[in-house]
Amino acid sequence: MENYLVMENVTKIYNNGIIANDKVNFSARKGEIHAICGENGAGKTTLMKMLFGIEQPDEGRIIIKGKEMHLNSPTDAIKAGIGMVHQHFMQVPTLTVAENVTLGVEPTNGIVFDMDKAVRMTTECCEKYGFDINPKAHIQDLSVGVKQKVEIVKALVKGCEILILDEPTAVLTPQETKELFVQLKNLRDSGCTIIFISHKLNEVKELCDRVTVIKKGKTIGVWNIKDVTEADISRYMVGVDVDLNIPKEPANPKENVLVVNDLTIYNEAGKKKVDDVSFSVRRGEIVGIAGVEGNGQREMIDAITGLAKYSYGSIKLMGKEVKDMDIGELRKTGLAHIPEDRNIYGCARSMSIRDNIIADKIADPKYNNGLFINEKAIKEDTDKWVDEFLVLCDSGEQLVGMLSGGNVQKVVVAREFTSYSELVVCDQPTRGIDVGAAEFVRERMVEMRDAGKAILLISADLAEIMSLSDSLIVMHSGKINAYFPDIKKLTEEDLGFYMLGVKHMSEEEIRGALHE
Amino acid sequence: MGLLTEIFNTISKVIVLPTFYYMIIMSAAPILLAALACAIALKANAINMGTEGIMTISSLVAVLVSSAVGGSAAGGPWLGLVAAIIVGAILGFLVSVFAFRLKIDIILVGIAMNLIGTGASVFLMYVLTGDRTTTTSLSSGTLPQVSIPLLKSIPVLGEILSGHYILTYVAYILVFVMSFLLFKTKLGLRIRAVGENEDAAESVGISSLQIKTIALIISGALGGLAGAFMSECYLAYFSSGLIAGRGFVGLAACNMGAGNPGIICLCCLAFGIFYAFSNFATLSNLSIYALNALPYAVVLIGVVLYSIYTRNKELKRLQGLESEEKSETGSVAHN
Repeated sequence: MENYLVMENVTKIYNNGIIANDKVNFSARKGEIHAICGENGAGKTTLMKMLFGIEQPDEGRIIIKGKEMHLNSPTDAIKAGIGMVHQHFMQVPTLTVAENVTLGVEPTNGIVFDMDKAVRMTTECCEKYGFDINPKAHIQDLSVGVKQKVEIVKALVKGCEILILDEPTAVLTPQETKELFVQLKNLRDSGCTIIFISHKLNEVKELCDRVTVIKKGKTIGVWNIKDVTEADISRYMVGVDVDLNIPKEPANPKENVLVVNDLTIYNEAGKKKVDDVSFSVRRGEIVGIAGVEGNGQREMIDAITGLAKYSYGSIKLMGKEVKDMDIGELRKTGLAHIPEDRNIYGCARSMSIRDNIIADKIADPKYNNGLFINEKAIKEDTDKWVDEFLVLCDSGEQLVGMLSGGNVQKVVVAREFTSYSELVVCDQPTRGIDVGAAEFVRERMVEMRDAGKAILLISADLAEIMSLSDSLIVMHSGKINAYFPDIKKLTEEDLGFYMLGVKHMSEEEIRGALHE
Repeated sequence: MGLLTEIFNTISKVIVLPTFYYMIIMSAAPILLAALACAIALKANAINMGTEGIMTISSLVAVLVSSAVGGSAAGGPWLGLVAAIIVGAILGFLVSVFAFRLKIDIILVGIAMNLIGTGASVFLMYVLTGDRTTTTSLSSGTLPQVSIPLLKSIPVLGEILSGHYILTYVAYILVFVMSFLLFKTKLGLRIRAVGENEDAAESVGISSLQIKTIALIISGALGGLAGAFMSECYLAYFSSGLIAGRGFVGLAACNMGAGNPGIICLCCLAFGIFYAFSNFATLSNLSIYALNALPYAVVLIGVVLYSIYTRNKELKRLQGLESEEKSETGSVAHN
């Protein structure tokens, strides 16, 4: 069968120098469901953004029905017959389904919006493809599953022939997922090309006809789904290239600092994101958490660091339940946190390096006399830390916003590693920073461990997590799927299997994550 | 006690007068125009704080243009009205340029517009007429009053509803026009979509910049109309302090009505009662200054009550959600 859509040698380099796509090749046929699989940051989303006209490729061609296309905006893409269902629905809550579906291509009668015709268009489309939606319902009253159907109908009404679904099942219940798959298969049989982006290999296997695997911005290959197993796809997706070779002695763990017991978290939509998770982090060890994004790590870390509430179970820091503590109390109890997004949660960009580093310690009598702050003591200590943490800057007075990403991260690390903490939660501590800075941060983490702190490390960088962690927890669909007390015995292939849910450990083995 | 009795006496004297009700309708009209100006901008999520300033400048422009062409005899007020609307629309467009193209915070742009309105109008008046306070030296005239056949001969009702300035009727008609525009037309749908979820509108190829600009131009034009009302209906001249916060009262009414023209109209009529009341100071021994301050005090109280009301409503909604969630998660856990 001939190719309906071809993306040829597509390259995208972002302004910050990150090569998101490096000569990627992708093609899809008419009437197939084609999966794109890859780790976080492999470049799937960038590729789809280029196809939908949100980003423009620096090199390469996009060919649809044999014709080269230049897609400069979503409008161009829609005209070319491409529809996209975004992870976050693009809907107006107070408007009706019919109004949302026809927005942008509104049927009119003079200047008047023709509601009857909009309803008719929506109904016709729903009937044609077997969707059961009330066109007159308001979006805000609908469940997530129905909202997603609205999103698909929205694309279909505009005459889309290529439908991109970006991790559509992430927000759905199993029943809704099953229903969605039936409808997607119907769509395929009526001639629509569907591009299905997912981490969930069982779903890819069940739904798709072919799969393209992307790793680190490059195409690894294309396979017919019946020729590959889930284990094969996992092997193509996951791979650790370099051993970071961080010098460190074997850990010497002592008593528990953080104890998480039967933790269960529901998100706002009532979906279970963390499912009965128990583990502990001891003084003098680095516990790594690995997992494909969206498997509950985010919600769990937000609960541990006080950024979000949790529903059931308990989290104890230094023996104290954290449920009703605010972040100030949490920090006093002994939490330090390097947040995932340093620019939003990690620092105040419009304040100086000095102010950022001292922010969590300002209540210390050493730095204030009850009324005025002690500028001299602050200057002395922060200057010392700026030197110690190798922050490249003119002086401590410089605004954090003027620093490079790596140096901003060093400021955050300087503050968190000098705070009076027992547990340090490091959430993607080296994401998007240069190699030198990353190495520095990693060495510091080992130093902190040796100084007797408990460290919880979350990282999407598998090389990092495998070389830093003393023991490792793997999360999959909200549960701990595997626990490795000794990381040396773990192969990267095995890690991939557990992360993607191809393999599961016994409950007994998993229970080992909680030390009494 | 004496004060309460005095207030009661005044009220009982005033509420039997048909002119009182006539005054309510008339006093509410300019506030209504200002509120509608704010409403269309609010619906597009492009809050137009500068309505007061736009009203000030356009009310002066109306007078200047009218007298320049020769006042009432030469149809000056009509030309003045057109000029005020055009100037208002241009000022609305300027707000959009500053806010969306030059990326200045839209609230700050609105405040700047108000300050410019006060300063520029006095300066312009002084340069052109040599007078710093009013333009009474110019004969700019007023727009016509309309007596409605049949209605005018009905006792009481005729006195209240007939004989208003033409712009008063226009203001109330615009309530329906605005409802139609916002809720029945394609443009209105797009304005509401952009106002509520800009990304959603952009993702289907609607330019939010274009929609917001259109909304602000319409908003400015309505502000111009409100300005012309003040200097060509309410009074026959421009004076500094003529608008006297009506743009802000309109903004308050707009927010209390959440941008919905019908509710906005009711809010404006409620404020109109107190504006009208302050016109009957001579019937009362109450301080004229207190009476003049009354409408603003009422707006303040109204806004506070309204915000308490919406906060309670929101709290109730959240509580409802929470209990719903609890029962839901409970059942999920059970499964």
